[in-house]
Amino acid sequence: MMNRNNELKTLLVGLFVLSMMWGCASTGSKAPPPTLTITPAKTVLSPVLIKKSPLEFSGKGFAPNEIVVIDLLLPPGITVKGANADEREIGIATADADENGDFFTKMQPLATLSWFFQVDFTPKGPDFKTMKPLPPRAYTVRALGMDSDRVCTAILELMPPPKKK
Amino acid sequence: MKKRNRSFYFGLLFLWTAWMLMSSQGLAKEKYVTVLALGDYTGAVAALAAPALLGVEDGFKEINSQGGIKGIKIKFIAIDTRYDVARNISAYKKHRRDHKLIQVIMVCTGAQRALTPIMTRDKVIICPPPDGKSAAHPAWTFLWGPAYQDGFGATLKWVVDDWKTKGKTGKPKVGYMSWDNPYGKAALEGSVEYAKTLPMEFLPLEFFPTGTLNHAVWLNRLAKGGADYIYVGGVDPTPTNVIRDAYKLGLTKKIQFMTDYWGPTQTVGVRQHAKALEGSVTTTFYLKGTEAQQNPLASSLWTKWQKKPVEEMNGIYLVGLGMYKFLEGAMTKAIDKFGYDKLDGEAMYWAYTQITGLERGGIAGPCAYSKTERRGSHDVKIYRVKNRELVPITDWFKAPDCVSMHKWD
Repeated sequence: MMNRNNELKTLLVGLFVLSMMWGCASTGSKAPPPTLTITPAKTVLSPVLIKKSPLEFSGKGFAPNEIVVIDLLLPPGITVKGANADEREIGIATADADENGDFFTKMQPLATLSWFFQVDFTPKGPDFKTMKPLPPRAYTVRALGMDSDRVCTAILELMPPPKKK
Repeated sequence: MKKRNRSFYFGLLFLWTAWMLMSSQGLAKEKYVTVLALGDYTGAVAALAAPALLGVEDGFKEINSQGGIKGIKIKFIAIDTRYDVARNISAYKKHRRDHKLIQVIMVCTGAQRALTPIMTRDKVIICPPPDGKSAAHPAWTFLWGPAYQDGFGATLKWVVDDWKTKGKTGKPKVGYMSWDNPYGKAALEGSVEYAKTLPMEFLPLEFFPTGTLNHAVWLNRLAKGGADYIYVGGVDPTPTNVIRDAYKLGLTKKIQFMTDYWGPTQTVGVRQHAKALEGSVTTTFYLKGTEAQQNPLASSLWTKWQKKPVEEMNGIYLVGLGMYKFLEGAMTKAIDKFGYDKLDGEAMYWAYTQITGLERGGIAGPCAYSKTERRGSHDVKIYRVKNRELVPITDWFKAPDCVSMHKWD
């Protein structure tokens, strides 16, 4: 009985370690694990993100000169306009890695409007009356190498807007 | 109790194995290829993309309802990218390894430019709107129709004829205004060179931001320059709104307004601003207006799959039908030569270069694809808004090859 418990514990620890490694994995490569940094990692969903201070994504450890896709991973129960109800990943930015596999990119205004504010578009432009902002909470963001399949995740926390006095 | 449990688990295992075997046999039986549409159903260019993709989808439904092409069905995956480049690229990454992905239909020029090298490496056919740059460098990109550049050239040719017909002397002055983005400038690459061979004067170019509410500034500048003709770019209702503003300024009385492939449609612009649009002309590579509604292929598929009166059909639906007919023709050839097992992007690439002259139920000119040609067709037609309808004022004619007149990078 004792042995079985130990085996189970070892298995659970092993699975935990594996799951931690999954967080930033360099698939089948001896290259250092990739990294992803979101700046700022905590923010209020406000119009400054559209043009003045868009979210920035940077990272290292991807294949030289490959496209890196930045996906927002939707938690269960959260959907966005334009995506099917069962879609769990939404591309929000892309970057071209340099010759060292490093990248830097900013979230484009159209992406912020479409996926964070979820506005409708009219012939005159975005219609803010229709916006349905993403609910405040912590979201997982994933950087994925187009060719290498190297993957890394980081947390983006969308905070509730400050209460009006 | 333990025996009971064991029997239960064995039973479950048996059922699971049986289900897996049955479903894998089912998959093996179903022969299909995948076509991915990176479209825009709710974003900035939905007015163009949504009806076009509806046409493609209805065409594929028609094929599948008849058992597929030689027994091979088409799985159509449509992603609403909302015109966002990142969403396009992410969606392609997700689906690039899908079962027999042979073709990707795209509407976003930025995403097309980013993905073309990867899709070419993946050996997937790319079908984007007709920017002539892809025609200048034939590769895996097959355009929906004649290049924007050629379409503008055809309109300029018509201007010269119209000027003569009206018995006017001297050279007509032509203005150009469009969105301040790659699409808005694409039409000029080659057509400006072509214009230099014609008896006309080109006014300084005008570009305005997408989403502009009032176009008076740009219109007034062209009017002050003495424009006799003004060509307006943008996807309907933008060109409609520009001409609406020109009408308010009284400019439509003395200036002939013209639009490109995505100019006023009978269900959008003409319906909303018929009075302002009266007399304006639009150049197109697919049937428009009442002619589109009376086309047997378009009306039968629209009423069958959309179950709505044909008067509600947006003319751009026919652009999608054109793509479906291209794929049907190419896939038939590819199956004949390679069979299902070897039916892949490479087989389709070969087949697309072999359907030169393919007819598509009269919705557009004959197919121009060949080993060296990536424009879907060469023929255009010009319509005029008359009494709330788009009425043809020319027959199909070959657009000038402006693409070949430009010095490309």
